[in-house]
Amino acid sequence: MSNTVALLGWSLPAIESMRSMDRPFVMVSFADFEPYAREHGIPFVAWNYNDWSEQSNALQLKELLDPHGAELAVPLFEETVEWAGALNSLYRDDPRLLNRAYLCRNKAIMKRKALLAGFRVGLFEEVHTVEQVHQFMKRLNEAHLQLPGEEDAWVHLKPFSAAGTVGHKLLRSHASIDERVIPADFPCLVESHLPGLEFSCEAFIHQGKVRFLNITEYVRLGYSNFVPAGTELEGQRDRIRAAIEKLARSFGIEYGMIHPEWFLTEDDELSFGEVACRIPGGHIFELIEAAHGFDPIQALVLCSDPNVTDEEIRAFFPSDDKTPEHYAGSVMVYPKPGRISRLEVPEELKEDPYFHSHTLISPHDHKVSDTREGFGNHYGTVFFQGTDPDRMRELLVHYQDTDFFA
Amino acid sequence: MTSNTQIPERVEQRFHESVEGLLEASPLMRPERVRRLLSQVDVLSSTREGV
Repeated sequence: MSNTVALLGWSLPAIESMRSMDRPFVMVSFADFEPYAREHGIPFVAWNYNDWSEQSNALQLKELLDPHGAELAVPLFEETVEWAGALNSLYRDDPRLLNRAYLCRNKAIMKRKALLAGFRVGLFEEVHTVEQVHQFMKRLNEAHLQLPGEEDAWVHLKPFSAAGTVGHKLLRSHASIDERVIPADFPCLVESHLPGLEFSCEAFIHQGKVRFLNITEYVRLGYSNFVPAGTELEGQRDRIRAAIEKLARSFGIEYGMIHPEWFLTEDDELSFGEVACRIPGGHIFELIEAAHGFDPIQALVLCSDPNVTDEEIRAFFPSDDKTPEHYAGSVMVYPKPGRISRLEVPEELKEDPYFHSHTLISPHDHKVSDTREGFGNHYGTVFFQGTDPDRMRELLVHYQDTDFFA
Repeated sequence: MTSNTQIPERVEQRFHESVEGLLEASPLMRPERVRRLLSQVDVLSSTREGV
């Protein structure tokens, strides 16, 4: 087992997990967190991830980490993935680790790689101007044999390297391109809309082998999901597992966790969306812990460490072939635009046997803006647990549109 | 107001799990655990038996 783990980013649950794992660690994050870290006795190195230069690079960061005995870097958030790749390249004397980290940080490169590996991906292009977005939509319309008066093909515009839904714009017409696309969006990626049931996988990989595979069913991206997935997706587990193994092999991922997103169409076509190599959003790790009964942050650290033995890995994970006793789901609550002053949790929710708990608090009187980036900030989360995935899905669909504030 | 006359077993069990979670939490995670526990107290207090 390697010595100290450098956790890149800031996460209180991660600190809690490391403490209960009884493994030395050091948090590496922005200087703003330093007073809090000092107050709570958290080993800490201040670092500005936005500055990568001659004077601020992985060599300098490694020097700061050496006194802590760090031998392994684990990224917690998207923006730290390449820093972890650079540090691990130094720790393991393998420059390709940095390249692999970049692969997970640029959506255009990862899609090209997936295409080369034989995955089905949407049509995509890197664009630099509004006109190029129009041209892309026009070519998609041509490919769809659009007739006059028919709707335009949907186009997704995404930054190359932002996490999740940040900066994501769904463009449904040429008019919406002119309305919504701004110069600051470029350069970026545009891609065709992929139909089908969207889901993610959280695959814990050690020595190049998938040691545990969770499938998360997205009810609505950015709002609600549950773990493990319902019968339709779990029925495809062998096929999904084979796709994950192929993805890990082709991307050269031997250690850590990957969080790819996929689409499954009604005629069972599996399409690759994208892949991230950091803690997934949407409370997925909390849901994994609630459903499968292990700490996924500890799992991430163990799987990231080449010195952890096969026996340790096998002892840690439950079997992923067995359906857990219950499903765990969550709905992230976004207030609707307008003035809000108090929290109103519906009585029917509190009485529902699947309701577990929530983290909503009564807001101070304020106006909620109708302009927000990605999905904006959620005001809390409602957690569910139950034995029937169909009932779980119904509840999440219902409560993702419920107004919890008055 | 609910018409429940007794606290369902699952509610009681989740409440106890949350209390345990709060007791085990370090100061870092306490605010989040408190919020979760409060939401369950809210459920309990709606029953005729109350907390």
